[in-house]
Amino acid sequence: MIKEVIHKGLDLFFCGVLLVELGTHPSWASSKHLGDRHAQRGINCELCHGSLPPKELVSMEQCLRCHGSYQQVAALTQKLSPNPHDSHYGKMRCTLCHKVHKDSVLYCNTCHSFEFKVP
Amino acid sequence: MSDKEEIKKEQRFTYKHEATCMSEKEAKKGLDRREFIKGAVVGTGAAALMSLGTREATAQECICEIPLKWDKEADVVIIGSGYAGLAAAIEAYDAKASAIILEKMPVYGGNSIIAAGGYNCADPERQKAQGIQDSPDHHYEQTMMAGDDRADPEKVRYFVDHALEGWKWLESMGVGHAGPIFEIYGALWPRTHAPKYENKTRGMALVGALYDQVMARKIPLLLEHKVTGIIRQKPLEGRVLGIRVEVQGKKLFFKAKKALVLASGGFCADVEMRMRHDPRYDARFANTNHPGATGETLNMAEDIGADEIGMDYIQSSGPSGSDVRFVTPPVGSVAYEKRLATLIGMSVAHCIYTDLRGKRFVASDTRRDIISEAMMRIPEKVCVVISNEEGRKYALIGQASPQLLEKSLRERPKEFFKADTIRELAIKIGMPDPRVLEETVAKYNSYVDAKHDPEFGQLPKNLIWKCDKPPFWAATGSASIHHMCGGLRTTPTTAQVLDRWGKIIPGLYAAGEITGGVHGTNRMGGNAIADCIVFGRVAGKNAAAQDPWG
Repeated sequence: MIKEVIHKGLDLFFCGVLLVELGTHPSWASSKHLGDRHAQRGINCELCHGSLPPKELVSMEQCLRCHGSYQQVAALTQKLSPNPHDSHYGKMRCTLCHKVHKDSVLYCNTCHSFEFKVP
Repeated sequence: MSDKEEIKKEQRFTYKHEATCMSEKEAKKGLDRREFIKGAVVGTGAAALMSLGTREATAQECICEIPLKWDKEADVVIIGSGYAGLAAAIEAYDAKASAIILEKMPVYGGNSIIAAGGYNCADPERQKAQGIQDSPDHHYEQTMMAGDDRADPEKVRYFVDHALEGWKWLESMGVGHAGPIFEIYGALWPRTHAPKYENKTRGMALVGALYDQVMARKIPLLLEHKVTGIIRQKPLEGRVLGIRVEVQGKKLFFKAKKALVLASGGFCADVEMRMRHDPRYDARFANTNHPGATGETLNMAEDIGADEIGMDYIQSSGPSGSDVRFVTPPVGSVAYEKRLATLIGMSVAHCIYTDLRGKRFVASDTRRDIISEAMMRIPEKVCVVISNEEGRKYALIGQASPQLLEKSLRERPKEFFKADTIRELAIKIGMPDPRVLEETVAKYNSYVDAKHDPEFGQLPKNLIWKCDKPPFWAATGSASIHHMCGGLRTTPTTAQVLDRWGKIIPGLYAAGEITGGVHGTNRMGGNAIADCIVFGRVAGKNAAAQDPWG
C-alpha cells in the first residue's frame, strides 16, 4: 500500500519533470518574444494552452491567473501616458497586443500613434 | 403549411441541393458559372437555380445556404455592439427574449465608444432652467430642414417624440450630465446633452452604462465574431432565419429564432465603399471612425433584397481631419490620423473658420454639410480654426483640454499654433499676409458687438465671444469623413427593414448608422446618438415580440 503510494508519487513527479522538459518546443526558452521569460519560470505549453499539443488559444483569464487582475496589470503601467491598460476600451484581451509567439503590437495604434514598447 | 414546416422543407431542400451545389473547394478550382448551373440543374432541377439568386454566384457560399444544424441560437441575434446594438439587446432581454450580441472587432463599442457623446433631445424642463426655448416640434422642424426635407417625416416624428424618453432611460442606468445643455457642432440649437457615467464622459460614458446593463443581464457579447452572411428562407423571399459567422477561421451558424437586428454601423472607414457613393472622399481624407466601420453588413442586407436610401449623403465632420497637405496618399485604411486635441470640439460660438490666407469663409454655427462643402471649395481643402484661451474653455468637455492642446502643439507643429498676437499667429500658420487675418478677426469682433454677421449670417445667439484676449490658438484641418446619413430603409416606427419593393423583410430589424431616414441630406450634430438609442430600443422590443420560427 505504502509502496503503491510512493510509486504513484514518483510517477507523478517524473511526469511533471518530463512535461517541463519535453512539454515545450526547443525554441521556447530562447524565444525573442515572450517565450524566454515564461520559460525561465517553468511555463510550458500546457500551462497556458490547457493541452499538449496546444489546441486552444490562450484566454485573458488564463493570463490573469498568474499576472493578477486587470486592475493590477493597469497599475504596473500607470506611469505611461496614456495608460494602455486603462483605455476607453476597458479590458482588452492580452494577446491582442502581447502576441507571445510573434512580434507584439500596440492595438491602440490602429487609430493613434503612441510610442510604447510592448513586451 | 405552417411557417415551421415550410422552413423545415426548405432546409431539407437546400441541403439536398447543396450536395451538388458548388462547394468552396470546387470554387477554388475555378469551376465556371455555366458548369455550376448545369450541375445544379442536373442535380436538383430548376428550383436549385432559383436558390442561386440573380447574382453572379461567387460560389464561396450560396446565399440561401440553410444549415441542418445551428451552432448557436437566441431569440434575438444582434450584429454590432455600439449604442444601437446594446440598447436593442437590453430591450429584447427585458421583453423576455434571449439575446446574443456579435461584434467583429476584438473590442466592443464600435464608433459609439469613441464618439463625442452629444445626445440631442428637447428637454424643456432642463433647457428652461438655462433660458432655452425648445420642443419636440422645434427639434422636428430643424431636423427636417437640416436634411433638406429628404428625411422620412414619419421616422423623424417618431424620433423627436421619443428622444427625451431615450435620455431618461439612460439616466435610469446612472447616466448623468457632464455639463450644461449645449449646442454641439452642427446641432443648430442648444439641446445637446453631455453624458457622464461613473468617471467617464463622452461616448465612453454611454457605452459604459449600456455595457454594464448588458453584463448585469448576462447577455453574451461575443467579440471577434464576424458575420459573413444573412440567411433568409429564399434569397428574396420568406423570413430571415439566422446568420453565418466566421470565428477564428471557422464557419458557424447562428439561429435567430425571433429576429435579427442589424446595428453594425456605417462604412466611413472604407475608402472604396465611400468613394462609390461620393468619389471626392479619396484616401487622403481622414475619417473619424473606428477601423471596423467598413459597412459589409450593408452588402449582406442587399444580398437578401434590402433597400437603401440616401447613400451618397456622406457627412464630413468639418475641419476635424488631418490637414490633407501633410497626408501622402495612398494611405488607404490608415487614414485614421485622428486629431486628439482637435479644436473642432470648440463650441460653435467660440471659434472662427478661415482659409489659409486668413479670410473667413463660412459661419461656424451652420450646418455641417455647408461647412464641409465650403471647405471642399477652398483650393487646398484646408480650414484654419481660430480661437483663444477663453474660447477653449467652452469646448466640449475634455475635447480641448490645455494638456491635449499643448501635446498637439508639440507633436504636430505644422497643424497646431499658439501665439500672443493675431499677427504672430498668422505668421506661424504661414499666411502670406498677416494683415488679412487681423482684419478678419477685427471684423468678426465688430459683428459680435453689433450682434449681426452681415457676411455669413452667424446667428446673434452665437455672436457672444470676441477673439481679443491672448493667448490665441489655431489649428488647421481638412474634412474628416464622419457619418453615413443614408442606409437601410426601415419602417418609420418599428425599425423593420424594407425590401426594394417596399415590403417588410420578416425577421429583420435595423437601427443606428446602418439605417437611413432620420438625417436626410445632412445629419444634425448630436442627432445620431439619439437615433441609435431610440431605434435600437424599438428594434429590440419589436424583435422580441416577433413569433419564433422552429
